[in-house]
Amino acid sequence: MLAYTLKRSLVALMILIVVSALTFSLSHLATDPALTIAGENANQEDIEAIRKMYGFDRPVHVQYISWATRALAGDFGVSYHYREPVSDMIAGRIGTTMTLGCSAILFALIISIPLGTVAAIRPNSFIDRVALFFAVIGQALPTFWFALMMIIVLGVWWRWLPISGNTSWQHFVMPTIALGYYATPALMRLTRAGMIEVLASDYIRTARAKGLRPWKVLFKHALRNAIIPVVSLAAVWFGFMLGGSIVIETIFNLKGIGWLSYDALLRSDLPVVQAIVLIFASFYVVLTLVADLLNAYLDPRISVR
Amino acid sequence: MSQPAGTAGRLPPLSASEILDEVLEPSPFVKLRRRIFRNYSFLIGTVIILAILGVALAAPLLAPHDPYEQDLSARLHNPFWHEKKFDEEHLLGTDKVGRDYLSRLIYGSQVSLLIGFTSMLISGFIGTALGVSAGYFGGRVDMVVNFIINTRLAMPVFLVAMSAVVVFGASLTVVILVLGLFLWDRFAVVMRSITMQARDLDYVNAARALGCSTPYIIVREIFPNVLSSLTVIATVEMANAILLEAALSFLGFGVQAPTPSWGLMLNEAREYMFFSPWLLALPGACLFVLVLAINLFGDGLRDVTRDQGR
Repeated sequence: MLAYTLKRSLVALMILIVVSALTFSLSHLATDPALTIAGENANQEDIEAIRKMYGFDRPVHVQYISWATRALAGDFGVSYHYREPVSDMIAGRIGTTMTLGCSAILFALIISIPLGTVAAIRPNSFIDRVALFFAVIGQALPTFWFALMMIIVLGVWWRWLPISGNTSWQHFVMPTIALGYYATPALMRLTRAGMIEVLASDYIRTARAKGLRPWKVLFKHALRNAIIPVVSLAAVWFGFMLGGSIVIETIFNLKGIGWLSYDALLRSDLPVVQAIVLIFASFYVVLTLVADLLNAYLDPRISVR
Repeated sequence: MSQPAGTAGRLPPLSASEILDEVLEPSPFVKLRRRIFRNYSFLIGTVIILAILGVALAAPLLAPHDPYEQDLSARLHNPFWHEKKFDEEHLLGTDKVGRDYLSRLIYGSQVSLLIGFTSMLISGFIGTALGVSAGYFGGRVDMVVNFIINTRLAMPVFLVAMSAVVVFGASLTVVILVLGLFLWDRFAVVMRSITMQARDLDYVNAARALGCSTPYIIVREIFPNVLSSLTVIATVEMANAILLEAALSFLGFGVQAPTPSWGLMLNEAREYMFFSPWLLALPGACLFVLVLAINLFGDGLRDVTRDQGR
């Protein structure tokens, strides 16, 4: 188990190094950041001065190493546009994105686990078919269009919910639904498949034969085992959701780091974009690492491979 | 159990076609045809996809107007279900610069299908090459490919795609290339595991024992095994690419104006959300129907090809 943990952590670290090197070189090889900072009316001398000041005249790998060592200490440089430290800009906004991400994944789990369980109790029944129908519809619905339609119906026509900003909990309702529903089909199908398999197993028959109440068999014995893979998939989805938050935060004008990355891209503010790519990638890597280790702990066969 | 005592043990009467099946084993083709015609999601998906493909190919004939032609005197005309400010020239109304909305929607299908299909071809090629080689060779190759897959999964696709568009400039080609170079992960993961299973099949071992070359074995013995899964993932990834293109264009980091892309039309319609919501509803509904059809086709295809031998 210890060897497995060390091996997986090492791979995770290598992945982060490669991802950060790729994004860094993409932005530094293909564009000239000095031009972006100097603005349109700058003359050649100014651009040269900026290039020297920021150290853009050094070889790319030297720039990368100095950027990466400072990033490790939490210093992502200064925004080209706002002239503020990037880490401050992110720290002030990451809470909004985390709130949105957590509530979206909770929303998805609250919908998909009961629906998947009910569908698994009677496969091919009416409820199962209804659940499948919604899964198929949900997978085809473009997230951003669904968000816009919600704004029109719930926000503009019925005036139930505020349509932009992040000052109260009501502001998070529509973004949560818009971001969360997209994960429900996958999570529901996995719950259903897991429950069908578990319900057919011997220990469930034993529990039933002992005369336990059906709900107790279902929740205490079956669901507990079927839910393990669902939770690790949810962890992975949480990572994807941070990426999806860019569109949702932009539509609802929710000023988290998804919105920040959109704003930074509009202004070619590369230090901000690089920092956010690295943060999203780290989240994904850490979440999958935790999910893998959790699975290995629960099922020791995995770590022996 | 419900049968009367006298008939217990006797078989229920067979229909004519069932008797025929008993006497003559139906050919594999007949079996496949039956599976196809019993699979509604496959049928519905196929019909809608063919319809949209037909619209895209015949766009110049079907579109009542030039999708680029502006007419500032006919801005924001309403579609046919509105009584006022509707003229029969524009069945689905006009956008903010007076372009015929129906024509733009029709031409929009070309953009979605083109981007979805070509980027799926690129990502399918990359993913299959990586997955098949990892699964066939195993060992070091597998380790390296696994690392590449995990690295790709760790990159936030949408954000990196947006950055790439900023760096290389927004155009149809850049969007296709970026999506093609990013969406190969599922191909690689699935191809790898299927190839691993196929590698040790008896006839593959036989081919190896006969001294066939590795490329020959991969193309002639392994590839037919992965083909049906490959098509299913291709549908998923095509749908995925279409949705991502729409989202990129919606944020202004995709196809550029005045191209009639459904995502871009949503972007242009955003400011008219309050007074002309149909400008938003229509392109999104088109996207939804196309993606739904592709998904239904993919689901159906998986069921149809599931128990097909090879």
